[in-house]
Amino acid sequence: MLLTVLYSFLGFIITIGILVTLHELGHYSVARWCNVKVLRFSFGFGPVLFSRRLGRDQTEWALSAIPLGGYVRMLDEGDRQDDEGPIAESDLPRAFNRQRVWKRFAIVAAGPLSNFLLAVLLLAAMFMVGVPGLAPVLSQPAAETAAAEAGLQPQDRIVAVDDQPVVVWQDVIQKLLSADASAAVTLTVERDGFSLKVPLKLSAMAESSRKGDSERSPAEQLGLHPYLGAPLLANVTKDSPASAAGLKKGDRVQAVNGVALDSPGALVEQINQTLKQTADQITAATAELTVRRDGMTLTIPVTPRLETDANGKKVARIGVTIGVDPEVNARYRVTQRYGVIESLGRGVVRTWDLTALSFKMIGRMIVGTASLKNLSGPITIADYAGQSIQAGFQQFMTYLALISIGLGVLNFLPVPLLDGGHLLYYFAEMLRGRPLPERVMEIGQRIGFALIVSLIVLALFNDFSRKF
Amino acid sequence: MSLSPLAQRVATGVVMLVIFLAALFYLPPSLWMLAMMLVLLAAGSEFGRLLGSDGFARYGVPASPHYRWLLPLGLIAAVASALFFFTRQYSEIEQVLFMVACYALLTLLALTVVPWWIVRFEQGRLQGNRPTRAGFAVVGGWLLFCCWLAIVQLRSVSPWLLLAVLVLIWLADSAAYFAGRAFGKHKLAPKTSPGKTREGALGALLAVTVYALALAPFMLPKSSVLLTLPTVAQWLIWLGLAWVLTVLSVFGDLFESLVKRMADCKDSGGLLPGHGGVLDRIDSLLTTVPVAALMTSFLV
Repeated sequence: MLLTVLYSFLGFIITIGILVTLHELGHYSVARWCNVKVLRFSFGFGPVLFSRRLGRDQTEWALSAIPLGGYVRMLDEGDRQDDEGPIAESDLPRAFNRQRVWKRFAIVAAGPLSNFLLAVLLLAAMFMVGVPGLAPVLSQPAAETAAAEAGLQPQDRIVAVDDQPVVVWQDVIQKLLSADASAAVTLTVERDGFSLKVPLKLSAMAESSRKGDSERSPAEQLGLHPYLGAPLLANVTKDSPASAAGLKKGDRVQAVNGVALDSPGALVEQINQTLKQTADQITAATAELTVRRDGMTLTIPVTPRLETDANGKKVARIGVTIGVDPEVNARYRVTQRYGVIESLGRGVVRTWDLTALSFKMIGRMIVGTASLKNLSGPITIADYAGQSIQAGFQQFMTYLALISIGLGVLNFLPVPLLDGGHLLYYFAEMLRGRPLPERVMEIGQRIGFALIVSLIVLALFNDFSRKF
Repeated sequence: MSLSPLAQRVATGVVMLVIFLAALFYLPPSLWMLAMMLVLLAAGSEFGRLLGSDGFARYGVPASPHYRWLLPLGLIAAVASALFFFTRQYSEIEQVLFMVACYALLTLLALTVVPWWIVRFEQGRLQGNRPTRAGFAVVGGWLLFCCWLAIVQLRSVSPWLLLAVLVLIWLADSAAYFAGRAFGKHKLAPKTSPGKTREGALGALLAVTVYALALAPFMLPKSSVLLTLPTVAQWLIWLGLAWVLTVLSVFGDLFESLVKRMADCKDSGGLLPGHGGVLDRIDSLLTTVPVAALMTSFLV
């Protein structure tokens, strides 16, 4: 417990340290290019603990007490402290507020932009080191899908799509996406040592794209699922139907009611199949689980419990956690490495996708189709930071990129007090020909402040309700 | 052999029209995208040249040659991001949402800020200071980008639809000219564009009304949304939309005149003999075509 907290704390400090410093360095370097005088560059908020003056401008590089952020303080006529006195005549042209509007725009925008740039570089580095991926080996295609119609079988390994070789699942998905959805592709499949070509119709993909079904990947829409082996139980919850029936950690559930399982999703699906709707209520029927334990095959009857999921839907659960199967991992995990140029390209694309996803989530939260529970605050960030730092260097890098994008997106939101709010003001200034009236800006700041405070409270509330 | 200015104007006009129609109906989508991008880049660089010209010096803003490459560069970046967006295979709903968001924000700007600028200029109160020029650049650049997006989108719906919108704009333009010459007494915006009269604007509205009524039997049945409404409402909305487009085309025209007036240039460029620059030809398209695309997104 103490170690977890320590890791979380460490992860959080490193994450915020790197991301905020970079963000502020973005502001700082563009300010320097525009010849604006920078008074202080501070890591952290609040009282200055330690500082040192450097360079021609004697910029004060400071370490402050609260490590939740940082700031760059530029020379500004509107921001003078009592002990500073008036700005020297010679320095006036170098004050931030005296700069032309596009320069101020550039200085402010440089902060969030550098977060996006960092994300691109981190993700590119990750692609260069190599991304672990799943080999494109199929599980049993669901009935009435294009894959079933094409006669694909479990354990088939896809080696090429339209004669272009594929190594990981992600390649298959990408090839499917770039194919003409109204036509068909030819999959080259390895089955029992033989190679065969199978035509696969893509019409189902076009249909779900029309319906706006972006939840399922195109591969899933066609009935292509990765082979993940029989689900391995990583944990059995106390006082659950599973523990009552005698299921144990390390069991492999090979079938439910005689239906063979080859992925964790299949177990969830089969357990849900036990739900029976009678005239006025829903009940779960007893299911026979075929379980492999220590080389023996057992048949264990389990009666699932009814639960309500996050969307208010009734689901059947037996109370187990499914873990990563080391055997499957060894056989079907592959590492895909990319060259420098391609990695950079993939870094850009990935950053774009994650950014789009963030905006989409924000949009959904505003419209109300996504729950506000998805909002995370510093504690969840620290929690994940701790986990990813323990999971390894690569996971931590990915995580850092993710948070960096989040920070960039957040700061670009047109809320006064955030960078995006300043940009909004400058945009209005461009259109009006002069700055917005003080009064309007002040009201904006207040609304922005209220918004940010409620956002923080909500995020912290979510953090705590997740933890406890 | 040298042609008289009028003959030159007519000859260039006919050649442009033939090339344009051939491109509209026969170019593959990708080449159409590219061709329209080149046209808008030419217009963008003309606009940038206007903004950077020393005419602004009279308003205390020094000439700034950077606009000449900054504006086309911004356009290229915007077009590249849009193309990238479309390769990311979002669902059709998301793609339409993206475009609608672009157009809707632009419409809001075109209907508020542009008239405000023109009114202030007429009152002699528009300061040609640096922020305003940056505002011209942002709004102009956005108009050009959205115009490209809308031209590509409308054509992908149907080349005839795009042609119908363009004919509406040209018709409004010509009707305003002839009605103004015949009956013009009261000037519309004397400082911005002395040639325009209120009578001309009314003539344009009248001509567009006749045009919209003539087109209605062909186009109304294509709109699944309008068909659900009672007949009277259908026709009123149809005419209302045509009038909005007409008013917007006048705003587009006036906006370019305003920038030219402040930059102290008569033509935006000399690319098209007898017609001035590319921007002079497409100024009223900039505000109109994106809004037409917005309407299409909602009505089809």
